[in-house]
Amino acid sequence: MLLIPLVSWAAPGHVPEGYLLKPSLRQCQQRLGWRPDIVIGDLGYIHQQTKREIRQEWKVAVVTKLKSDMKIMEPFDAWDQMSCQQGQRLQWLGYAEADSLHWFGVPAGESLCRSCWQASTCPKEFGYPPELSETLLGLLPLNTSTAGRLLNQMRSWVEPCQSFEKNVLGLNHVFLNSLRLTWTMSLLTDAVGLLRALALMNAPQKSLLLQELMPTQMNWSWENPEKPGK
Amino acid sequence: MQSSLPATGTAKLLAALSPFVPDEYINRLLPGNRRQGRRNFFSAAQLWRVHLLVLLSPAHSFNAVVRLLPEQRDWRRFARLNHRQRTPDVRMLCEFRTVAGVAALRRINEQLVRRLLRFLPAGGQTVAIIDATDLPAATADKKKTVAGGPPSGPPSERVRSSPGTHGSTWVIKSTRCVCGCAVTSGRCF
Repeated sequence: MLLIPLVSWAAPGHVPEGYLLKPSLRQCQQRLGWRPDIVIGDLGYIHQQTKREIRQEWKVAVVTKLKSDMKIMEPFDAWDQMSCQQGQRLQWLGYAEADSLHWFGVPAGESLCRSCWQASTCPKEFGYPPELSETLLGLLPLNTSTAGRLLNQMRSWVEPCQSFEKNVLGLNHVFLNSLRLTWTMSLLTDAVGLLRALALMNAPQKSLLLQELMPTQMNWSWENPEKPGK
Repeated sequence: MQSSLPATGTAKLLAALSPFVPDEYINRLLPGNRRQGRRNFFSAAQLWRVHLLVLLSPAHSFNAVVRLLPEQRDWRRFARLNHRQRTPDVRMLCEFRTVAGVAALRRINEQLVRRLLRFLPAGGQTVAIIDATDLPAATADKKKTVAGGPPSGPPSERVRSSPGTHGSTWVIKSTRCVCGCAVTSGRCF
């Protein structure tokens, strides 16, 4: 896994960070001709309308947690749980791009369906449009294990990167007396990060004899075949 | 498999990063300006490299880098400065930043990102993490300080500078927003 700085902005503290989400993706698309499939953010990027525009314009999934005071709407029971009208838990089956619907169904194994009085007429699969809730559904529903791992495991990886730039590269110690200089130094810091990444990718990799016994960073894998529709 | 870089601040790291600086691209992007009649002693790539030394060396200021450059052979080698006595001064660095601006520095970074995007596995999922972090502004000289020693004049009451308004301090707070990309490739971890 390799993290590289893609787009950086320097702004005064009163500028909400959520305002910079869409410009960042536009910058990626326009300048690089490329955009990520999924963007993970904190609650500062929860704005529903922005998520909708990004989903519709670029087909990019913006995954954030739900605010504690936000209402959970039907058919969700909690931010990470969905069930049918009779209370059977549902799991995500996939996103059908043709009809713009997320499909949810009964997971394999024990279920309440055998004792349900509506079993004979139940379709057993339920489709919901992403615009029902951009945070709970969007392009990658929050009740999937992938979304849970992205938010709980991967999102925190950005903090060591910021700490590296501020402490090891000394961004905290630079005399930043104007926004212009701050922006310049931020871009130079990004350049160092990118050069390091290039050096890492091009470095000849040595095989050590005791490699199997050495501790290694945990590998990221998409365990379940749950992918946002693209 | 093991791939690690030398520690930040070492000459080995400078040597490891130096081949990846896009010198030609930078020089094409920022050709020298000769209209003012002054001769350009240093190319844009050289000045950009000197700027990187502020972050890659223990001297975290432009003044310190400029002062130490004549003594540091490894720094000069990284910045492609051949002559010991002929190193850029602070004014040249300031001019470079003014001429380059944010736009050109961004273009340089985009060039580096493009090189890295070639390593993306075909059909692989990419994830970006967006977050903001605070950078401390240099506001020490803006803060009010209590005058030391006894007052020489007659004691007087404290008054507001503008009646009816509360006194306040003006602090520049810069927020930095980072958008990162996780490359889900087996080679990248």
